[in-house]
Amino acid sequence: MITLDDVSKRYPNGTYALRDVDLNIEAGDFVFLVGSSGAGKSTLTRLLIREEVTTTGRVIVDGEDVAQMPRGRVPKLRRKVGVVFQDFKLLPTKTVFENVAFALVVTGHEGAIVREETDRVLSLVGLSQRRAHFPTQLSGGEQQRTAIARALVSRPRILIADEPTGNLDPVTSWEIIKLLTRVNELGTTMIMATHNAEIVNALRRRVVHLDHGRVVRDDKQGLYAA
Amino acid sequence: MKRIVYVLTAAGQGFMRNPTMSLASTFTVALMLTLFAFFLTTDRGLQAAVAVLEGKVELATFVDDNAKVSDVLALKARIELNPAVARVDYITKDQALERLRAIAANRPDLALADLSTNPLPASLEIKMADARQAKTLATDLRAEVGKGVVYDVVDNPQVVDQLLTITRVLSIGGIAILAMMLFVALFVIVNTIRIAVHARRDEIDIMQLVGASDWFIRWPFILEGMLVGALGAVASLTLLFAISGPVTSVLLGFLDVLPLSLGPEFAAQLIASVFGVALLVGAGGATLSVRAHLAK
Repeated sequence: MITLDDVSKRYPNGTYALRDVDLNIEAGDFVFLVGSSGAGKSTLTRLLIREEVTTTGRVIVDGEDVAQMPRGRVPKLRRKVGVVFQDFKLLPTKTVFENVAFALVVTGHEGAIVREETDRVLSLVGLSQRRAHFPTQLSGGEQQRTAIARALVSRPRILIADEPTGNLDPVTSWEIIKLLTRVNELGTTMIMATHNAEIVNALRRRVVHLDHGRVVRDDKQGLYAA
Repeated sequence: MKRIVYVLTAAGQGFMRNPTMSLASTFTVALMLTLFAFFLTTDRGLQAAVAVLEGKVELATFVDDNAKVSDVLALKARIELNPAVARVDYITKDQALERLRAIAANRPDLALADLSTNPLPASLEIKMADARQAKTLATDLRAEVGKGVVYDVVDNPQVVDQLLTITRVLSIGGIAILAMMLFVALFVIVNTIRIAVHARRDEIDIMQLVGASDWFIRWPFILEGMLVGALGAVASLTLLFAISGPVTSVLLGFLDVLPLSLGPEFAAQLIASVFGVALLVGAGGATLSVRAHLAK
């Protein structure tokens, strides 16, 4: 599903965000990216949706070389890869329903499909009752679930979550993790960058540890620290 | 359908969300378009004036009293071959005197002494089809003075020369001013749309994140730019047509003979040109602005 082949990313000031990274993620995998701040976790996720381009090496997502992809094809790639952020990135003037439906409206789906798919995904994340609320009327967990619903509404094959529990209390964090494991069980490949050791240790999934841009550990059923 | 509704709504919201800037750019565009329409109209008026005056330009070639009629007719035939010439009339000595008498009869300030002989020469009166060639033809004919047929050549194409100079100066000056105004209008639209883009940057980020195409993101802004242009065009044309009646009558009263061709055909051309320029400037400015943002 995802292959990074000898990938390096160097910024114009000369610092390396990633160095000689080789990584292979199969369809349906659940992978934690761990490491200290600045280790290269976010850069790696940004390479997968072509928000950044590699300096050297290849990034293959669902059979396509992302770095070589013409700009016009990037939107199609992003419809296959859902992304969730620590700060939710919801539009404050739109309701829960509108925020989620937005992803389908702006990619050209017709009204009936937009309604049907948005209802389906709101039910999946447990927000059907809150559909008419605005983000400011929601708790942090509900906001993150709205963001997850928006990322899932296009039925992506991959879901990237960059510190999805970073702004949430422990109880709410567990709710979100439960939701994400469920999404993974339904077949979506899951990549989650996190600092939350408790969650990583409890789930015992694959752990890829980055340090100064290099992969220093890749355990099949790993812990947060070696 | 939902997509079209989204694009149109977003464009309208963008315009209304920042009314001061939207109105400022509409006003600038209207000003630019009014100037554009003014130059277009003036140019058309001057062209009509030049055409009228060109039709009036004459070259008089006076014929030597001793020249043979056959030689004069041969010269007339030769001049008629020139494509810049519309018509050549042979005025005999008698006809010339007849004309002078007719003029004198209508002018009490002129009194003709009793003429026992006819002092007036016969002439070839040349009407030009292309007034700009009058000078060349006059020079050619003057070269024949003293060779038996041509006695003198009189031309007076200065009026046309002056009018052509004015037209040229106005065209060049007009284009220069228009280019500057175009630049200002473009600059203002680019900034208006930049503010609109900035106001919706979160929305744009999310659109890019969920895989909206660049064109889908651009369209609302391009439409907003075109809306600014179209409103500017409406304002400018309303102003123009409101003042065109009084201005035309003043001009006609002042210049008397100049037929300013402001008929329905020209009005249609003017409306089409003004709207065309307005929509192009609006769409162009918006495209520049939003492209700069998307390239980031």
